[in-house]
Amino acid sequence: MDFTGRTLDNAHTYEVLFGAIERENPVESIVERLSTAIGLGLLADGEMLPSEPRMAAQLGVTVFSLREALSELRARGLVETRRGRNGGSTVRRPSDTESHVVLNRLAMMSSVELRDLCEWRQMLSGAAAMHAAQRASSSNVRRLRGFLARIGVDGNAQDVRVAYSRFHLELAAAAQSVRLSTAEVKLQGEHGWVFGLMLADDHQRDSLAHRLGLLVNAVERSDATYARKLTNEQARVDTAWLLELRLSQLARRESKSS
Amino acid sequence: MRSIDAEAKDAAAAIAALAMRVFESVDLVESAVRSIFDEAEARGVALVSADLMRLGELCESIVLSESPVIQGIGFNAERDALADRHYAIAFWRRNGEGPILDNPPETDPEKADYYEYEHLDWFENAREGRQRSVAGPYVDYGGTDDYTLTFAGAVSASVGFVGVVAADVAFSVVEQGFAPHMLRVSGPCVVLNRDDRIVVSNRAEYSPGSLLAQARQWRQVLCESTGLGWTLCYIEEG
Repeated sequence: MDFTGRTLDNAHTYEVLFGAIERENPVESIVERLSTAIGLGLLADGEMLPSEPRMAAQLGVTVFSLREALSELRARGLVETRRGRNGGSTVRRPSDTESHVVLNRLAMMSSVELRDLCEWRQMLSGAAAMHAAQRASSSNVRRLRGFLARIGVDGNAQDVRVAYSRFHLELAAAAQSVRLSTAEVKLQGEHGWVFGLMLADDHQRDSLAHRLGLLVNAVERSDATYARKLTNEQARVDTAWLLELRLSQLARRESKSS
Repeated sequence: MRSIDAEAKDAAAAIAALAMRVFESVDLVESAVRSIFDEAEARGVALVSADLMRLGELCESIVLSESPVIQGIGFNAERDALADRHYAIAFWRRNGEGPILDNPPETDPEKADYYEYEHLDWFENAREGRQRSVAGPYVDYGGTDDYTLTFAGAVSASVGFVGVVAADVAFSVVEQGFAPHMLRVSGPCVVLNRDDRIVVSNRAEYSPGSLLAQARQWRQVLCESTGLGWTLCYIEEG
């Protein structure tokens, strides 16, 4: 047979979560990644974590680093560990973890970091929207509308966040770009929680759904210029809102401590 | 000198023959899945997702064949076709030089990263009654995470439609495989899928993955292979 060529080594969303940890300060990185995953519900309450050797191998860290990180997570009340034959670590997610963890993390981000993140969101969406307007098929448009409908539904927060993330992945896929899709997966895996804050606010979510609806229409009628303009406007609104939210969190913490 | 029509016809036939080879593997797995469902039906037992592991040997042999074209192959169950889960995938794929992976994407809709395969083109085509179809090239996010073509075969067991056999072929493999045939056509030529999307081309200005405007103004010859739905379009240079 005439086919030749090599296949690419593929990453998977799961591997974004459990993929290799950066070298510098692995303990802190593990703690941060797992507590975010727990806060977002990617790891469900009561879910059993893989065995320590397996998890260490997946994360690309030593078992010692992993144990140290688990100990910190235990101290924060986010995991429980049982020793013995049927032992292992289980996720514990108190009901108020999410908003508490996430708002705290937002307050800890610098304003420049947050602005940079929003601009990266804008660059990815803008490029995806422009190319999608030139390359999307009718089934891309249909799936975009399906995800959009789920963003507008008063479902649980995780469903809405998943729909938002899938919408952007589908947009990148409609642009026929593997690089944009990969960058989108990475962005959602690491910072999906930031966009989750917008989606948790009814007013923000409704206005976002409205604008994304206009975006799908622009993609459908191959209007690349307008599609890009809409993503730019969206980014401006989102950035301002998130920066305000961060400041209000800082103000709240300040008033508590004084 | 040969006419461009004859050159195009040869290229279309060669491409259709390559595609046909992929469908032959899909058919083998489709028939194995059908047996599993029909046998269970005859014995009056309910199938569960673990029963699909019986496809492992066949699927592994396909992705490990000597000149591997298919990167991954397996079965994607129709919603509630199995007794224990709403959705299930049994899939075997090559991972670079590494071992065969049989850990399919997450299919539990409760999980944030679950793979919503039932709304993908190749699954919907089969559910709507197309026995064979090819989807793509497309970015298979959540699946291979690569630019991919999926060759699909609907499985209709005695109980009805139960799911889809899907074989993933990396776009890079398709392009490498088709290039020699495309380059033998003396004028600009592209292979178009059902969406008028360019699968492969022999000119830089017609980029795979983009839509061909005014496809109807090109001369066309069908790549004849059941379910493929591809047309080779060409124009005379000059």
